[in-house]
Amino acid sequence: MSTVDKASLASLRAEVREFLRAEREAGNYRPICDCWLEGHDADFSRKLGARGWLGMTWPRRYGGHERSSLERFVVTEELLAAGAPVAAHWVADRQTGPLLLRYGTEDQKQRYLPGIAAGELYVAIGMSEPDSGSDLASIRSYAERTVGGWVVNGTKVWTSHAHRSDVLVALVRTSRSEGDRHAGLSQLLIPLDADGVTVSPIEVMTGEAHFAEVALSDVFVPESQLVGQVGDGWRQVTSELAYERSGPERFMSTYPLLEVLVEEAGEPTDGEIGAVTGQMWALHLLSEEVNRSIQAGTADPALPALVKDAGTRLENEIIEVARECMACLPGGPSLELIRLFREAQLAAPAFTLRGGTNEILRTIIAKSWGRTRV
Amino acid sequence: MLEDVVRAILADVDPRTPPEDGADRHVWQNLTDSGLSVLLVPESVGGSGASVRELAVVLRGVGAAAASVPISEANLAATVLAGLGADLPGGLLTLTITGDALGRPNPQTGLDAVPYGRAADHVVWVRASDDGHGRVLIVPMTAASIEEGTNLAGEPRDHVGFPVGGVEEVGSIRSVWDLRLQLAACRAWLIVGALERVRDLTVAYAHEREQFGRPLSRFQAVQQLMVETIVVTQVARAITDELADVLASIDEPAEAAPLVAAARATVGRSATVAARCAHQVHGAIGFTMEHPLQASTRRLMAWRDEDGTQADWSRWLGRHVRSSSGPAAPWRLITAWTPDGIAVEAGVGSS
Repeated sequence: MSTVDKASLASLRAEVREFLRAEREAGNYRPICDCWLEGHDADFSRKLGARGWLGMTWPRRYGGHERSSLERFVVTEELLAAGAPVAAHWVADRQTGPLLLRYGTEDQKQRYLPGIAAGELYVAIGMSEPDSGSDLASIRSYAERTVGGWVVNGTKVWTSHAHRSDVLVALVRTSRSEGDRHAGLSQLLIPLDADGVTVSPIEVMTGEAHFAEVALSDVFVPESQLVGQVGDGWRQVTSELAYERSGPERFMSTYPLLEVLVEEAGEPTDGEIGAVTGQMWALHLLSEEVNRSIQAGTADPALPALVKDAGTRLENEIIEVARECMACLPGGPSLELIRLFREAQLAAPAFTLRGGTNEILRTIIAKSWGRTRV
Repeated sequence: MLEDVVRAILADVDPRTPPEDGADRHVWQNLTDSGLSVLLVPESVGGSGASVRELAVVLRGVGAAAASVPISEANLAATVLAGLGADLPGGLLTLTITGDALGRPNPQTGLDAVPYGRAADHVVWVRASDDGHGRVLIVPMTAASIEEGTNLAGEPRDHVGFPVGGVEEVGSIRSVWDLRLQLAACRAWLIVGALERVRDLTVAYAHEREQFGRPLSRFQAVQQLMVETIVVTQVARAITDELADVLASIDEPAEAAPLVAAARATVGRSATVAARCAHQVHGAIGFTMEHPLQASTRRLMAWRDEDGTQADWSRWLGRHVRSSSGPAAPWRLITAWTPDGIAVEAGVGSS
């Protein structure tokens, strides 16, 4: 692992800020809440790819840039703080790339990674199903073995941007084992334009349709599209979930609201603003620590769950602070503040549900804390 | 390792029986014998020549053990005196600051709420003036009168009366604000120690206590409470570890004022949540005097608002974030320090 000196990290951060300032001034984006989910912009993703800010830690031979995870962390958090439209590439860059680097065949790496790093190839996660949310191991999508591959039947739901993506990473059952429910699961890379795949967008209360349902009806998936080994699916998703749960997007979804709030708020709500600033500061440090520990291979399952639990509650708290502030603005809130406030409120119910429902995460914290420390 | 030394010294502390004269003399002697009351004083003048990081470790340990000693006041008092080239008086030292924004007004003949005043051999009194400087005075306890007072945790917070002219002036410090920040930081590290103790007691109790034929930890509602305690403690620990690293790497505490404020805002909230959840898990036994939990939760309740209240610090931070345009917006502040604790943008730390 390369060490990065503090001066070059600081200049990278400044570089990203300058890029964002210019893009914003040119009218190429405006800050939104929940930008990593609701801000789907293929042009913007391609620009980031061209800048070398996607696939940052991957080997160069797959289109990556062999930079450190700390540098990647700095770039991603600056994009989130700016409320920039990073949704198109988010999932692919965050977890599909690492998944394929770890478990993929050489062929899969060559076919997918360069496109992801260029910000041109987009991925949707096929995990949840109508009857399987928190209890992911209960999924029923089945891949029947056939000549040259599998025939897949099932339905995936809450697949963000499936209607705008190229490939679905689908968790499916490849064998009906009697014992352990976690056994017999595999992941398959399914092109979203394959025969038998039907994608239906789902509109949510924000007015956006980032969600989708993906119906798989006798979809033939060749052997070349299996990720890793048959039966390895549970282990793969578990490690993906650590990446998914612990990133700065788990406490920064409403940061754009806070930033504008601070510009307009008056003295009466100083205490509330100080309180959420303190919480964000602490969570930023914890998120950095999780990032370091994942890279070092010392990941403690409690810590990403903890960051996500506390972080998503902070995202909600910022909305409450906004309500307090806006009630005491002498001249009334700006149009931008009103817009961000509405976006945040409508997105809010999702914060503590996605990426692992908080209540379930707390059982994970409870069990793993007792085991490793007491 | 320092943590082990501290743990060994504090191993026999029983916080359920507070010492008769207010301070645990035996523990105090062991701490001073190990140089842990003069951590920041240079070795050349009899100190331990350690850094703020070591001070944080010791304070967390004392906070966790709920020992009755003025460990932060004594350390800072010794540091102030050593900085002035003054001799360190022997015995138990304590510290109080008056006349600044977070302290009581400068008095003439008596100091209020002096930590461990009744047990101290000397009170180091920093008397702030309007220009931010502070006169450093020593109150010899031989000539002083005591009216006993306590905080919620039963720790001595005494009124120390002294005759007019009965204090010795030893010099002055350039910045009372720096000292106030250091004292506030020390309180944060004490709080984190108490949080970790409360968390560990709660996790252990939930796993050991059985009702309805199974441990409390098997009930999801109880699990949630236990987890709240864990989460808020980890949040507090993260920011106070950063505080120690940053303060250890800069020259003037004022540069890190926003981080001190953020730490105090955060640990204060953690203290409130942890105390409530811990008591809820423990049931009635937890609030009896015969159980150790209350000794730690009462410290959380008291300490969250000492050396500046949680609200004082939250408001300070909010005002700082709001009133400095550009570089002090929350995000820039949070990302101002590199992993090595060096500020990357000019002007982020000044108040």
